[in-house]
Amino acid sequence: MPDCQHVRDILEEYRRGELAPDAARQVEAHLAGCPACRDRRAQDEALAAVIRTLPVTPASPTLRRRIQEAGRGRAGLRRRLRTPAGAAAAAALVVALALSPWLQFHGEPSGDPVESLIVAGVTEHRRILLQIQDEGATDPERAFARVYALTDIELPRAFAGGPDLRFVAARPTLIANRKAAAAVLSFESRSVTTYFAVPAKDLPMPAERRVQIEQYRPYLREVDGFRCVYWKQGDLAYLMVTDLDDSATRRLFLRMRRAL
Amino acid sequence: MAEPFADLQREALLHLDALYSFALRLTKRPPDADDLVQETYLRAFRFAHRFEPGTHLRAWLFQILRNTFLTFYRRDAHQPVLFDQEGEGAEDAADPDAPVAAVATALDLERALGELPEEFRTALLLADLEGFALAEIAQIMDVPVGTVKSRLFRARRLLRRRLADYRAG
Repeated sequence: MPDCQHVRDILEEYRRGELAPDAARQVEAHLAGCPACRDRRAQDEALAAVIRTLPVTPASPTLRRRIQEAGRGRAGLRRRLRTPAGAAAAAALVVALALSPWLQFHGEPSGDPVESLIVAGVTEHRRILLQIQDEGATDPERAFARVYALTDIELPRAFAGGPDLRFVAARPTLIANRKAAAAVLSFESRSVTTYFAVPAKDLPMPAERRVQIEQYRPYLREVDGFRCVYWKQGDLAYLMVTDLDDSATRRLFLRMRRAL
Repeated sequence: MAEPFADLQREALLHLDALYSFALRLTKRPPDADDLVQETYLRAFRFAHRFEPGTHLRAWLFQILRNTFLTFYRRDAHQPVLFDQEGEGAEDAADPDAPVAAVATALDLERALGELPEEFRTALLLADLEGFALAEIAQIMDVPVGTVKSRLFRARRLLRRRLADYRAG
């Protein structure tokens, strides 16, 4: 009969079914007569059971697409490599493949300020999503005052929420090197939407990619699977980042546009 | 014969969400997790000829991801690992009044995991969440099986203690 020390040395293998049948039977015999080792095994089991409930965070559609494209590029590359003439071009392609998706994601070499703002806003929204559950209920007035003190941006009262629009948080932030106020709200008890308010003075309103929503024509983009709505109103430009569907996005846009 | 590279690529993509979740728990920042996962796949495609068919593709991908993380992303690479002070002999002192059933929320668990040293967190996630065999974890982390087991043991002890601390407020 193995002693406790020996059993604990191989308990991990036993729990995972990695022991030979003979050894497993010996462990079982020991466990049957040893409450301390049984308890230890139960504790490890319980912790493993809780860890198994940790959620999977899906990769964004954009990331998936970029990887698929890189793989397709590689497959083509391998075929071309069979001809010696293709080797130089292939070497250049390796560099391009390694760099281009990265640039696409991070850099905004075009320098378009609205596009930069949107890409940075989506990144910040995702970061907020990851952290937001950490925060308990906050008082909007106090949160707005703190944001104002740090950014000089006064968030309109509409961001304090309403019947079907629950206030989650407001915080100062920096997107695309601009001071911004972020207001986080949950619409119709569904997913979380982040609004960014930034001083509008040097931000344009693009002519393209605008959609008619009743009498308004905001700028619309989809980045990493998030819908982004951008518009200017008064002294501020607003960016709304959400994973609501198209019709809910439009309803929420209208509601906020009218309340501001 | 079918295109082996296309098969590998297709199969590799089946693990994307698991790899991304793991990357997020390593880097704790979505933009870094995106970069890390993308770099992982670029490397896997680049070194596809080194992959031995019939071996575990999923383990191979996790191994590339973790090596890439250690090379490029680990910010605390120069900090010593914060081993808990007690030696191995202290195991019987594990608090029996702190059952995991008392885990308050998944959020506490994420937080407690995030506070574990990377070696412990990785071992625990690979073992209990991803369900890898001990030998596979040893391969992914490039350490002997005995080291994996001792990391698992310490990881669980630290995690239980943290969760009990949260519970106590």
